[in-house]
Amino acid sequence: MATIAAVEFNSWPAHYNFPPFFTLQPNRETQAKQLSIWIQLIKDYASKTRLFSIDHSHPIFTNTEISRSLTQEGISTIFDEMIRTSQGEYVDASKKDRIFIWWQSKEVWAKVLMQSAEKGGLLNSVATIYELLNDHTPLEGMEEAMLVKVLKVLEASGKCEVMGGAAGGSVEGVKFFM
Amino acid sequence: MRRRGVGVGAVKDLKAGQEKYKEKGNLLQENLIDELSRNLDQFKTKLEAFAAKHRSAIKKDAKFREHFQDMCATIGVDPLASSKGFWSEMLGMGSFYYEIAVQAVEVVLSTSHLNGGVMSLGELQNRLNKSRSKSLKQTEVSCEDILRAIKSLNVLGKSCGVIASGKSKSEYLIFCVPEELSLDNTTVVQYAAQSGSPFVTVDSICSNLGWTTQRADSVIKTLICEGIVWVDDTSRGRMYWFPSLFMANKGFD
Repeated sequence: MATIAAVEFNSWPAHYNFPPFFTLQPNRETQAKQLSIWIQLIKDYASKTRLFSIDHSHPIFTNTEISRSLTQEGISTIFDEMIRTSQGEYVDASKKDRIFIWWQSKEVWAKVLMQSAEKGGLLNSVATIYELLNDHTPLEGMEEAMLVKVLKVLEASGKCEVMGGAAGGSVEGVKFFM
Repeated sequence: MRRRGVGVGAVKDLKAGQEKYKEKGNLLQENLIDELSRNLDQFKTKLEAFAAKHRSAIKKDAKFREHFQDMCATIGVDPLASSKGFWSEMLGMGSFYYEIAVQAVEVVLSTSHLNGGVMSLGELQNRLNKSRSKSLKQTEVSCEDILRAIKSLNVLGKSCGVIASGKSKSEYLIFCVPEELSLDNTTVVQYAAQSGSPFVTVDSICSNLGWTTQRADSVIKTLICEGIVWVDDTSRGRMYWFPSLFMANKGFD
């Protein structure tokens, strides 16, 4: 699909060339299937290209080869379904125009982060957010707000302490525990 | 000069003669029957021997199976259809078509969330052979095998069947739906399959079938409900696509 430049992605589902795929289906069962194919596509695409958030204007929602674009209503319905099933989260719940994509769950990310902290000798010391999102870390490229959500999971189970971030301020660092 | 027989004696003679003829006739008839049944026995033995000898070819080779089936049909036996008797023992495949029918229905039903239970014969054959090849014992089936198998399901009612359409057999449509397809619904599916395009519009139905908008709308509504068509809103109006026709040979996941 030539629509999306500079990205190598070849796992388009067969439905991507099926024109009605871009119209929200009125039949409930058909729509459920349609949404699940869309969500799988978005997650596959995101994990392959390390895309952490997506909004209505993303080119994935347009297939120029068959001249079809998913309607705004369609995109909103997909976002809602992803949020309902914990596969997505609004970046700004008051705007609802953009969502974080949990192509793997927060819990899995938390495990990955913990393992990397152990390996990197970060236990019992303070690490900056910047450090954790640095190149060549498993969370490379993740948006800061998303990382904070992952850290909250670890904090809730007593594996780390987040510093700063109170009263809407930015999170400054994190201390991991053994 | 001998007088022609009159009186009791002559009647007796005549009767005796007739008895003799009758006896002879019976004997001849018996011989004939004997001969015939001997022939039949021989034929049956030969057919059995043939079947036994070519057993694996019959099971493995769809083309060979078709010829064998034709040959048997001309003398009025259908060795592959019955599940009892010496044929099933001989070939170990009496339930051959029964098995295919069950598998075919399974394949169509398992994808009904995608196509509403309508699938082209070509796709069905691909999927069936793919799933059969996983089991070593099971052999490739041809389109003819599947058609024969599906037709044997007629006794179960009208919710499974074949819509003959398109030029080749692989374009025929097989359906397994919860409610039987009404005549109007079948007509629209058939029209779509024959039109060579995987979608229809209300206008195209009306102009090609000479229907009122209302009639076309009502069929479309049912087809959407059954998941047989998907809706496509375009700048040129609504189109209704058949996943079964669109994906005839590609196959959705």
